[in-house]
Amino acid sequence: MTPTPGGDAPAPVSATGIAAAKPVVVVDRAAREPMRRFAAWVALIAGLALVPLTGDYATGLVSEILVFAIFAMSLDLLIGYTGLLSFGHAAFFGVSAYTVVILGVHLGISGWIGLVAGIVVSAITAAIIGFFSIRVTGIPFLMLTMAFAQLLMSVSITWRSVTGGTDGLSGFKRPSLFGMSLDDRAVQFYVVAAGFLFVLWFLRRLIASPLGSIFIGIRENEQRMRAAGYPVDRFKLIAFTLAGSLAGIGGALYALQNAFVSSDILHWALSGDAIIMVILGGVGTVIGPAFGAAIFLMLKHVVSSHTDYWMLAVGAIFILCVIFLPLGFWGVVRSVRARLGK
Amino acid sequence: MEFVATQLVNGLAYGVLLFLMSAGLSLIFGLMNVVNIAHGSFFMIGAFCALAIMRWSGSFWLALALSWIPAVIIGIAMERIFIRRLYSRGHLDQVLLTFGFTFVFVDLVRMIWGADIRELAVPDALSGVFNIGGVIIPRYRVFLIAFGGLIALLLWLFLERSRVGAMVRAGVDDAFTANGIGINVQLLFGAVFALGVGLAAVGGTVAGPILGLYPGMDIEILIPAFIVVVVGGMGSLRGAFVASLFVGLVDTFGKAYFPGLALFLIYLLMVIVLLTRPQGLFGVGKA
Amino acid sequence: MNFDRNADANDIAGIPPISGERRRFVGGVAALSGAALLGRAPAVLSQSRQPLRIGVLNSFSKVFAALGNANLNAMQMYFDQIGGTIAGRKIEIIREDDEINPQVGLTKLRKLVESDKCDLITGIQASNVALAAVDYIRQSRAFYLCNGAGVGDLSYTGVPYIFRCSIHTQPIHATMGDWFFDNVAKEVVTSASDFAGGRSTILEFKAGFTKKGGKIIKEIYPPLGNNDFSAYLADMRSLSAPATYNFYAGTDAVRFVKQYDEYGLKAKTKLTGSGFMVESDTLPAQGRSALGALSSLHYADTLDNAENKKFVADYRAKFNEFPSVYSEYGFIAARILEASLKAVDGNTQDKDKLRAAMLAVKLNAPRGPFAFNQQTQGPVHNVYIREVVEVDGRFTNRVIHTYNNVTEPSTKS
Repeated sequence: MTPTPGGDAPAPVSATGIAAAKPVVVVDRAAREPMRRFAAWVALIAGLALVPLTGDYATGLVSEILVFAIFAMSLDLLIGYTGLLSFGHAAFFGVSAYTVVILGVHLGISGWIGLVAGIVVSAITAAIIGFFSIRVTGIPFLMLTMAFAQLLMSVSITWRSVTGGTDGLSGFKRPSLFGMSLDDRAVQFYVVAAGFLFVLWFLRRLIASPLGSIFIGIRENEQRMRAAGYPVDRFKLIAFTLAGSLAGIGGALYALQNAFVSSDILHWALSGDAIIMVILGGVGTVIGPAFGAAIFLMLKHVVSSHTDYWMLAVGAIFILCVIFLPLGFWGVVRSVRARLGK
Repeated sequence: MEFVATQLVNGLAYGVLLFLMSAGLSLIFGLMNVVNIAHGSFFMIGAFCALAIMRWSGSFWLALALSWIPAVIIGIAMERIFIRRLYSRGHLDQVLLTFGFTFVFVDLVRMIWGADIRELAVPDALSGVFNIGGVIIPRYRVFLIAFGGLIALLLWLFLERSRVGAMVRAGVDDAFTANGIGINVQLLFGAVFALGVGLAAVGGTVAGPILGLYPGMDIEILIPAFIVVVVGGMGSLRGAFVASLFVGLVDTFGKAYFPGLALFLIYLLMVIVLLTRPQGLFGVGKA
Repeated sequence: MNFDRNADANDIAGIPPISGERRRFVGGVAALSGAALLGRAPAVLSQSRQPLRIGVLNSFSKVFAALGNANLNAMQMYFDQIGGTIAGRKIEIIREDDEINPQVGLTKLRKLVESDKCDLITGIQASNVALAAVDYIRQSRAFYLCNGAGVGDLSYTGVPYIFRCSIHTQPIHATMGDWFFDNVAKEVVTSASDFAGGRSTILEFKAGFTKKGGKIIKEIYPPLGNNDFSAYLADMRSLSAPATYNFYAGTDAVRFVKQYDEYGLKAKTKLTGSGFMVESDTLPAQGRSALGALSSLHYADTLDNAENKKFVADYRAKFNEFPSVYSEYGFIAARILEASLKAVDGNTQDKDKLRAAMLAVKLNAPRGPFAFNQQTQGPVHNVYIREVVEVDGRFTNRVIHTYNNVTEPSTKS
């Protein structure tokens, strides 16, 4: 497939490096596994529950990280598990955020209904874009997804009366949960955390399911899957739509969090940021991208407070990661744990 | 009629600009299957180096003659030290690597030259307009058309008529076999990468007077360059040439006659081509 | 954290000293991570002689970087001139970069208000960031003096602690429309980048122009970030208009004006536009092609008043370049902060008192006389009609007419 210089034997059909970071499926091996996993979930939930105690500012930071963690994890379903490198994932995140804010600002519709509507809209958008994009693979796929996202961004810039254009839409009133307004940072956080936990749980179940295995199979060797009779295109479309819908959850939560949306949410630079989060955190793992989101955002946040040249720092770290740590943070943690386990 | 003629010339000039911007990208992808997302960065580096040379020497021609050198040096270093490690890995890693470099390059340029918008002055000999029967064409654009045509011709001669060019073409077709018959594909990859980024740098230099120089210009030309490469077909120089003229004309006439759609037209073109003929107008179907 | 960076825009800028940066970086990472995790800042004892923490949120990377730096440079310059203290409180500036991104801007704003415990916030050039910030400022009751964004809606938020000393775009463009009819032409072709700022500029120009009976021949809106204007310029020429009125920002402005000249339109079709199209961030790159362009703005560095002369001289001495309109934003904000804080003896806890003091501020700034509109808390200042000229080898604007004490409409139109 990909010719290599220096006359090496033809590259194996499944590529190497990041592309070959083995997608991780947690399979029930011993009786201790479910116990360990249950304990991990409890620890995670307890940890998240305690975050608001650290004060408004830290809560806001973690909340922001969780929203982008959802975004990155959803992208990994495409990159790490189905083998589709999309440069237009921001489209689904953005479209959902816009839905929530537009419904709220122009029609006075509650953010909760907006949330559901946002997810539906992002799912439909993903299905449509996916339908066309699936027809090509590799670099053309990358460009096509980028082109569609840019088209959507152009729409949001020109359709000013609805989207607010480059200035964005403000004036969104956050909804309430059981009488507590989401204006309260802690309440906001719990909603976002609930969304994050749901997406995490959903992705783990999905990957462990037969459908998940099919996705992985497509990534490993698409031709073989076709030869075996699987309607590969249909499954790719399913993966694409699911990934888009999950990104839509993230986008809707973003809207509830910021009560604002503008056209930069659809720019391919945001898709690029998500890709960085996936790679830094651990491509091909479910929770890796969540760590990637945390690492990327905290790194950027801290570095930019001290120097204007934060892009240099982030870019350099990313390059080193691509070359030397293709498994990403979580990938390295797992391999260390595996080695210690032996 | 005059209006159409004017737009025609405008479209051709813009198309030639696009060709200079995208030829390098197409070549690199065609031979090495590497999508150099940092292509725009070399465009920017070329332009700023030209600025520095002009400020030092006062000569645009000298800048044009030399500005590609720093870009090529950086490109060779980038290929040798970083990209080479990833040949055995898939496209994904190379895309990611070059993407990371865009961050690094833009901040480096900003560190050295600051964030302001700079001017790359057109030499006096090329400023002013020609008035041909009511059609106004700036002299510099005519120079662009001529210069771009010359570069296209030189590239064509190189690829089609020289031994080295034949080796490059062999490498594009089948690197494995080419290596098998004794062509040093690794050296060739390095040379082609250097050529590709050199072309981008030259493109930046000649486009500078029209576009203005600023850190951030790298991202702005990336999308038009991608569109051209997609429409024309990756790896096909003829495709890049025809596609750039085509895209230049579509863009110009689109703006003139369908102003509301200007932004969408180009993306729509890209989408349509990708869906109907993903290998581009002249591309060879690649696995 | 002290701001001490000198932006050198004209020559090869020095790379910041590595070792100092690295030390600060490591220390800063540790401190900031700790602070970020705990969300706490040093306890505030007796408030009034505590350092005065001013949070500056602006764009210091990407395309607005030069603007953000100019703004802060001038502000810092003034604070240095008055000895670095106001009402006995030492000034501490904490600067953050919003990357022209509302989400990043909000995160940094929260940091400034909640983690750094700033007494006041100033800055924000990007209109989308400014608009996104309104909700947070309303809820957190932070005190915000906007010295950047000119977007209209910011004047009508109803938030008591938002002030604006930069501009409201409406009077700038409407007065031009008014003047244009009497002095340039009775009909015009307009063009502007197709984004919110572009469209609103044309609307504001039309308000002044058509009210007098002016006729718009055609409105053209190239996409944002357009490279090649030749198609639009050919269109303009074919319409044989006596003049055009345009708005483009930053690099688009550079390209448009250069290509306008390149295609020889200036001779037959007078080039006019919003002041931002031919300002000090674009003029150096536009060069000769901008000569003779007419525009309107609340400032020009050639303004002949004592304040401005001193401001320009001091700025040139310190930074080795002429100040821009963005520098003046920073300068006037510093003057206003000094005046209002002195009036309340440095008490930033009582926001209503501070607000009253700020509303009462009247001063002579480099731009001319300045006061706050009592309803909208936006600026009341002069608008100048200017022409681009060459002075001692430098391209700048010369004032040819003055509209005195103009302000924005009291309610949203």
